[in-house]
Amino acid sequence: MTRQPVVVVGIGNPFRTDDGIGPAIIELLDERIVTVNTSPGSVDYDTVQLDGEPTRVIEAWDQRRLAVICDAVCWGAQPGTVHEATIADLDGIAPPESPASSHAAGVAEAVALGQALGRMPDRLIVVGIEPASVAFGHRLTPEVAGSLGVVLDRILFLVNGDSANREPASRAQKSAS
Amino acid sequence: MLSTGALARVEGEGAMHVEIRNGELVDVQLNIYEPPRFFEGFLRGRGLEEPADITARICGICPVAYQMSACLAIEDALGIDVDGQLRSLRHLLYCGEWIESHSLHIHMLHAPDFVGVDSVIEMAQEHRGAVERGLEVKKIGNSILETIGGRAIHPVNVRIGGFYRVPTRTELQPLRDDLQRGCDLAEQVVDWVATFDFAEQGIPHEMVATDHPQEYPFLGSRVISNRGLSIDVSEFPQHFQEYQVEHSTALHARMLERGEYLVGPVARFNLHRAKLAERASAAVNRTGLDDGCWNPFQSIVVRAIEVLHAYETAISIVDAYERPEQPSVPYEARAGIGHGVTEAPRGLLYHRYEIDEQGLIADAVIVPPTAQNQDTIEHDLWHFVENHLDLEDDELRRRAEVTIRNHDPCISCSTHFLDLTVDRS
Repeated sequence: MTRQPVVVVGIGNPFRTDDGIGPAIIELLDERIVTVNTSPGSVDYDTVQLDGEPTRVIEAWDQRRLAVICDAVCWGAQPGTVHEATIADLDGIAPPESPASSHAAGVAEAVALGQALGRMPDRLIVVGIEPASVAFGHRLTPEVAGSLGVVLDRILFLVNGDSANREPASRAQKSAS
Repeated sequence: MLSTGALARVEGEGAMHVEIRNGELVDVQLNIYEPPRFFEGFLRGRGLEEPADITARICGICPVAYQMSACLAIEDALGIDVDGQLRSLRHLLYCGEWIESHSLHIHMLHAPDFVGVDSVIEMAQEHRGAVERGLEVKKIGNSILETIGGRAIHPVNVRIGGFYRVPTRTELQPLRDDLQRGCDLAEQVVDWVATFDFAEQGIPHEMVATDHPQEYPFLGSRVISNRGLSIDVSEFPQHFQEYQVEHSTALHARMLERGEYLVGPVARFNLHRAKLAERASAAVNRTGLDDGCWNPFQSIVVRAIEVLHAYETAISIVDAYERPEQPSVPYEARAGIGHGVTEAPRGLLYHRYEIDEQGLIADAVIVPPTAQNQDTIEHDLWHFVENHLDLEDDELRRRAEVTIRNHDPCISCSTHFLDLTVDRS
């Protein structure tokens, strides 16, 4: 299978409530690929669901022009808040103690290992969603489910390449709830 | 009280507490925070095809193990056998998981302890070639999962009776060159980890693994130990008992009238090393483990040997593969009770399902390997700390973490994440 220059990586566990935001976004993107873009070659990005294990993340983004990571991140904002970060911002992503989701640390570790091995994408953007809960459960909370549309639109905007010469819509927080 | 934010480089989430009073060790506890039985409850009332996919979500590192044990248990209840090429394909899929899981533990989690660095990131700077090799060995394991399982994490192609779709021989062939390359690299990994310095420690525990008359065990039907246990999988509940401890929400396990026991690579190796494939057998001789592995610190060597064996096994399966006429054995749903046991990378994984007359899951029991090893891990930690009470807390904590990592606890099989505290007064 041809490897596309752009990849969207959804990280998380769909059985841990809002930790399932990454996989949920990938499912929406995959549905869109099937139902909207039916002509061959009309989608020039790959989608991957991962659990955050760093070496898999590196494999997914290795030699890509752009990697967009979608994951639940705990940055202390209101649940449902959508964050956006680049590599330069990622030092602050991994809480040093008791992260509600180990996946944020997974991405941070993947970045550090990828940099040490010289296996990073040309551009990396993390679209993170502040979770309301990461307890056991297979449904997103209403706060996070309400952000799905905003997250999907933002990711499509990024992968369609329109953002190449623009500032991100909001570096900090773009409330969607 | 001293506390680390997290015990790094262990899969999952939990806590280990060490209590020292007046210079004497008085308590060691493995605490697990979260309700591990969520999945067992979640399965009740589901269709009998669902446990394989649902339990695969328990752990991102060993989904195939959960799928295989679930399928074997339900197939036992339904009275169907899956053999021939379908069984071989399952074996191949399992090889991919062993390769991936063990390679991850060796390179990302365990080797930094022996190389003398704090993380794989630091190791990548000083031993880049070893890390690159490890990632390549692991990646080929991923490609087995993608080819047979449909995707690299939480494979979706496994079902009761076999698979939803089986590959053609032509579709498997591209794996062949990668597997050969991976096999050569895996042999180098064995020789690399065998050069590490290993602290002295014994393994007093009874060792338990599944059994197969010809194969180094992946998919078993019996359970044996090095002290004479030999039972059919259906007798598992009569010999092994889960029990609650106050300090943990995860169940511990013990053998009735025999106590704590060890499952995992070292147990498999000591019980079945005579069945290893040719190059893995030769590696046993080179690494001096002819008489078995009796030091938990050398478990990293055993994992590397199992990776090599998994590569050799995978090559044999691909070479002998002929596409089965049917992707799965047909079955009719019926009420019954079934037991399944297979060897997850971390050890024996037991599933039991009761199916009602509508073909729905009435009851589910899952006994993961890390839960079974909890008492053993506590015992090892007790032994280690008791003999190193003179160490400064930071060093004691660091080396205690190494002791825990010997067992590769995948606590996400029962919970997530691990804190280690040392309480000394």
